[in-house]
Amino acid sequence: LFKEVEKVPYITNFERLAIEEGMKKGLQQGEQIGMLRSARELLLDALEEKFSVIPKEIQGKLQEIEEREVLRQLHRQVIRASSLEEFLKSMQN
Amino acid sequence: LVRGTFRKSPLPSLEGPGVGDQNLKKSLVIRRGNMPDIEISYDELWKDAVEKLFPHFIKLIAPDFYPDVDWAKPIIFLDDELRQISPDSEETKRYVDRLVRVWMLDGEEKWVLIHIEIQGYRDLEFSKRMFIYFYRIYDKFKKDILSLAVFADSSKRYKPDRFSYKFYGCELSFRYRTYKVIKQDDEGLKKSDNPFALVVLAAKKSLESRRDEEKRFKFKRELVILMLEKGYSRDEILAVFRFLDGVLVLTDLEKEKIIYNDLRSKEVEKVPYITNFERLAIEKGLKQGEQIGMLREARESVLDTLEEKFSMIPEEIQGRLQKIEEREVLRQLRRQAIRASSLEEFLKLMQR
Repeated sequence: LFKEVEKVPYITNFERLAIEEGMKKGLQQGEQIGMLRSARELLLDALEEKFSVIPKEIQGKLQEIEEREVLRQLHRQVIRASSLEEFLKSMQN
Repeated sequence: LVRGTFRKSPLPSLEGPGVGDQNLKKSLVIRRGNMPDIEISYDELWKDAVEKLFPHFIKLIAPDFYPDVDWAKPIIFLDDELRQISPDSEETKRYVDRLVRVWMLDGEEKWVLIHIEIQGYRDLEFSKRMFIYFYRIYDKFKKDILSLAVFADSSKRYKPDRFSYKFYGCELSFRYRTYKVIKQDDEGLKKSDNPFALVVLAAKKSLESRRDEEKRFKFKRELVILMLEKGYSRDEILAVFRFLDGVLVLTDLEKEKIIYNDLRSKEVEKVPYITNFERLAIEKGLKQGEQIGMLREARESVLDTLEEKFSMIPEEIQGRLQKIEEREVLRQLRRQAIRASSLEEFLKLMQR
């Protein structure tokens, strides 16, 4: 039975630590980016599913929103709204 | 649990001339439980350091030769030529050697043969090997050669410096230059501004702390700080650092972390390779993290939709959503959640 051996002339412990550190940072940041991106897409999805059309100006406005919580709030409003007009009104507030 | 052991004791073998284990390895193996073992190769570390710091190496070890070399001309490592004249096959090699072409200030081309003996190996064949290198290069390539033997072993006495031949009135004596790492003076090396002095010091400290992790940790920490104080260039730091990091490897990763954090908090910009590794890892992490985040958001949006519409979410749905790893499936479920007129309807759709 052979035990797996990593030959390491090229990755030293410090490099290993740097990789760990970097991965940790990257994962954290990446997760935030992914959630924000996904939140926008899902909001558009919801609009399309509920009202069939997505007005262009809404698409533009959504791109400008950088807070996930705001997008999530809007998402709930889409679910609640009975018409596109109602949603647009709530968005203006 | 992390433990380190030398695969073979690097102490001098007393088995006799040229006798020894053919599989003798010059490496440190770190056992890490379920994770793959790490094997650090001392040859590679030496090879790299000599190549990356070649002018400094010559300046330290052959200071009389150094000023006559035209350092503005390219330095060429003659690996192919070395292979043609090597007395041993790759498998039985227990040492590092490099053949280098340099140009002198007078325009002449000269060769330097560097031989680094890592095992403290009482080897009567050693001088003979040096002589074989010499005559093969002399014969085949007709070049003058500076032959240099560096002993990086732990024995204080082992230092063969000549090959002698005598046969019925025929005599030959071939002398070459030698440098013994363990006999060097700590203070002198510490004071030197030559980056290779730190390489030698790290190698010496590694020999002095082979079975003493605490001592090794102290040496390493001290040397890292010393290195940063020296004002070396980025490339020099990179070369010295890789060597000392490898040759003074600690089996306890927590201790490595202490030095690493020390270093990061002090002089990040001076240690570009650390930040390079970090940067590459961050990029990789970002990509992975984005996928994770998108999946997480998709899951939460299904839950948000259900909560908004039906006020409560049965626990079994939450559990089941956690198991879904494809974003498209979640997206589909979310559309269904918007369309569904009751929780029962959604549950039915989900079961499909």
